[in-house]
Amino acid sequence: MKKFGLIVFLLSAVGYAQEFSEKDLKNHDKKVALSKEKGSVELSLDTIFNAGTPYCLFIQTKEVLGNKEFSVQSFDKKEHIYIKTDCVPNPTDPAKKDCFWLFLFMQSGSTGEVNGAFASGLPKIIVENNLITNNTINPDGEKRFLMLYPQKLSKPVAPVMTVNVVYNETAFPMVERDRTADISVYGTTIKQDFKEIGYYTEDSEATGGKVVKTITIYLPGGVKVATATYELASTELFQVYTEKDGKIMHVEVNPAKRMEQLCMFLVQRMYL
Amino acid sequence: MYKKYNADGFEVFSVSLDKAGDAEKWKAAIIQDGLIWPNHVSDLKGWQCAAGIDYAVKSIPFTVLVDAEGKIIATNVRGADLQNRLAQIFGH
Repeated sequence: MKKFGLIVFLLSAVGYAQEFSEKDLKNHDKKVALSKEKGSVELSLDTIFNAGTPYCLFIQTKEVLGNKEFSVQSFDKKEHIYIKTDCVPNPTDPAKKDCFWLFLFMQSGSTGEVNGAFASGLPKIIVENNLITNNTINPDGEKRFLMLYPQKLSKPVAPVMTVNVVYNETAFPMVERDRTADISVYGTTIKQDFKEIGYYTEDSEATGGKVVKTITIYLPGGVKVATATYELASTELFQVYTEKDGKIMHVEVNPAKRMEQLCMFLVQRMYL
Repeated sequence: MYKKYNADGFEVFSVSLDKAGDAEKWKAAIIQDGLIWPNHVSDLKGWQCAAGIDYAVKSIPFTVLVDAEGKIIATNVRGADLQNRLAQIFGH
């Protein structure tokens, strides 16, 4: 049999999904020691350390012209918070812009804004508000954060709405697989853990001078799971209707990975 | 991917850039990270690892995809990119 080989260079301190330079790795021990000695919050190798102890993952996912985006994850690589920088015209002087960090809590769909902080200050805000505990989101920390940093400047997102729909779990037969694995989208097929977990269709409609796109997601057997709509001019904010329970949620996604993030949103909530 | 393509002749060889004194951490990480293939090597010389120098490794993880004749056909392919390459090679 012909053999193909993959040689993988690794280091025990670093996970396979991350990539770091020799310089990052050399500075790592110093930063962790500093955090331990001073009881401070430090970021090294995409990991937030609090008083020398790993707290959570803080991964930069994107940077375009200085606009950075971050994913806050527990150590099992589940995304709990997505953070992006955004700016709106100043209400009194439209020539100026008010910039802020928008925090999107993935589980609840809640959003908050942190003004006037550099990206380097975000890990401290995450730890100070105790947003992650026991390797998952801390609902009490989230409530405290939302009280301290409410959404003021950006477009308000409607709260989650629920209509009373009675459903039967067996009517939505999901594929068994590792639900923490990465989502892949090939054509219209949605895969996780090398298994086909669903597929989607996409339609667009022009109404009132706006183009509205609709993505409908199905289980492999054809059962409709969810419908996501978004305006073509604003490809980052989806309104998602879930068939199983009649919920309407708002999901902010990275346009470069919109299908993967939309699907992961549904997977994490046991819709897909 | 290892599970999916191993029966087709796909092998994975891990080279650890751990240093002397970190051998136990390296062995533990093999289990913790679920690196289920049998081939794991290290000369425990860190960034002075002979294989790392030969393959000009400047950051990790770093991957080298080698064909059946031993020729390098891609470097630093991971995730979906690697999945697509292997799907092309093995046809599924």
